[in-house]
Order: sequence, then C-alpha cells, then structure tokens
Amino acid sequence: MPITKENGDGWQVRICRPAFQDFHAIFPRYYSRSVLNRQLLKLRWWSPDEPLVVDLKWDCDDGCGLFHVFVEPGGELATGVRVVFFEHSPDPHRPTLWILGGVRIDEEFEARQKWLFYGRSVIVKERAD
Amino acid sequence: METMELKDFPKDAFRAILNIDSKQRELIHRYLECSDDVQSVVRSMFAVLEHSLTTNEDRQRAIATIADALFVNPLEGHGNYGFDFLTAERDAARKHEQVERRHVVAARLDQLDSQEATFAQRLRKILDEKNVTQEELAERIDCTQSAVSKMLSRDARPQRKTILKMAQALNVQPTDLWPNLEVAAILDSVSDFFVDRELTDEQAKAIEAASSRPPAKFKTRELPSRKRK
Repeated sequence: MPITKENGDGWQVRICRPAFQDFHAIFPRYYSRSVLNRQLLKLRWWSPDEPLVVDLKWDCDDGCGLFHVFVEPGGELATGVRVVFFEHSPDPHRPTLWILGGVRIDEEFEARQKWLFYGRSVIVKERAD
Repeated sequence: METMELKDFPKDAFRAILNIDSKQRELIHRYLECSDDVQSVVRSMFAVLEHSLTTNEDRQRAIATIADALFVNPLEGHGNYGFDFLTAERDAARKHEQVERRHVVAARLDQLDSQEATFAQRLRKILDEKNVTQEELAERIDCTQSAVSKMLSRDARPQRKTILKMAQALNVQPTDLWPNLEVAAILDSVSDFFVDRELTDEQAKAIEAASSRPPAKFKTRELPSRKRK
C-alpha cells in the first residue's frame, strides 16, 4: 500500500496505549521518558525518501509494513530504544504515523516481537478514525 | 454455523463453562464483540503468553495489547482510539492524572525547554563567530540543513551523538554547546529517585550485588583512637 504523502505541514503523530506502557517499562523515570518523547516528536518530519529523521536513524521491516526509528543511548538515556511505527491515515488529508511501541535497542527483535507489533497495527487499522 | 451433536461436545467444556466467574464472563463478552481480525490478534497474544520462550518483557507487551484490544478507553479530545502525541506532550503537566505530580512534570518539561534554548543560543553564537553556515555544518555532521535549522529553532532536540559531532565539526568542547552534558543526566536521575522513591531493576540488582559481596581481604592499618578531652 503506498504511503500517504505528508502534505508539508508534517505528519500527525499518534500513539497507542500499549506504546506508552512499553516506554514506561523501559524508562520508569519520568525524565527519561520525556527525553524519549522529545526525540519521537521528530517523527513529524519523517520522509520515506530521507535516511534520517532529523538526526534519528530509521529503517523499514520488509513485508510487515512497519518501520523502526532508533533513539540512541548516551547522556540522558541509559539505553537506546527501537521504536516501531507505521503509517495509517484514515483521513487522506491528514497523513498520520502511529507509534506502536518500543523495545530496548539491545533486545532481540525476531519473529515473535514483530508479530506483537504487527498485531497492534491491526488493532489501530480497525479502530482508528 | 455448523451445529455440533451434544455427544461430540468436549466433556470438560461444560465444567469450564460452569466455573466461569463474572470477570471472565466479561472478558469473553468483550472478546466476542471484537471483529474477527482483532479476535485473531487477541488469540495470538495469548499464544505469546503461553509460549515457553516468551520473555517477561514480551509477556508484558502481549498483556498490554490484549488489554488494549478488549478495553477501549478513548481519552477526551484524542479521538476514538489512541492519543495525539503532540497534544499528549503539551498536556503532560496540566492533565497529569496525579495532581500532586503536575508541578514536578511541569518543572521537568521547563528544564528540557531551557536546555534546548541554551543549546540553540550557543550553537547560533558559535556558528556566527566561526562564520559557518547551517549548510556547512550539516555537511560536516552528515545531516541536512533542514535538520540543523530545526535544532536551532528548538523544534527538534539533538541527540547526544549529534552534539558530539557538532562539537568536533566546530572544534569546540561539547560542553560549549550543551553545558553539563554528562553531569545533568546523572543529577537528574538522582533527583528523580528522591521524587519517585523507587529503584529501577538495574539499580536494585547493583545494590543487591554490592551488599552480598564478601568483605575485602586486605590488611588495613588500625586508625588511632581519638583522645577524649
């Protein structure tokens, strides 16, 4: 499915409740979560044609329709995070990215984890308006 | 729907049905109200829970997904499902569910704003002093001019790696761009501990390891006792 083109105003970024819980589990401290959130706000300017989102690396998971953005550790964050997101725009005039959740950057990310996040994307597609 | 003969119905199914309590009944009711696709997701999440190789982290993720599928709790002003991320960030202090923590959250957000403002101010000054354009800096640190512009206008918070690259590219110390780059994080995590009064798993393990360590086996000189006046 082709990606809805962001219209120059940037993407609307939405997040599902389990994603908040993932980040809370990775970063129990509010300060670290707020730093992570500041980094994830950069997704407003994500472009599938650019290798970076401002200064964040990202890649795509072929076949799943999911994308990963990597927030790196150091200084404010003790651990890096792989954040999973995908594009779903029920309103084509409002291109939207959905943050599905995240894992620590040193955690494995194999079939089971991919399936978990793919399942969340199914719920988003079903319920998002 | 294909009908079953009563004699073909599994015997233990009746016992299971009789033992269902009200909470389980509600869970089943909610599950049945979901679409086929969402029911399939819920079933696969239960399979994840039951798998012997599933880690605790994945177990938590599966439970969160099941809860999200079965218990739809839309938040006012955010649409029928999920949250608008920018709005949630802006309202983080004002609408925090624990009223007594709102001032703490507000202070943290002000601190982040202040750090970004200081960085932008310092970077702009250094670029002017060294006569380096945004394009030139972007090229040196392997990103776009647009990205540099966003950091200068405080729309985007730089990662630590970016600050280090910029410092190297501009031949300045990282702390010239971001004062207390390392110290701030440590102090904040300590102050957060006193606010939260909880340990992370890593901290708890470190303390446990330290307390269970055997005493050091080296000779010490006995300290002279203090003479009482």
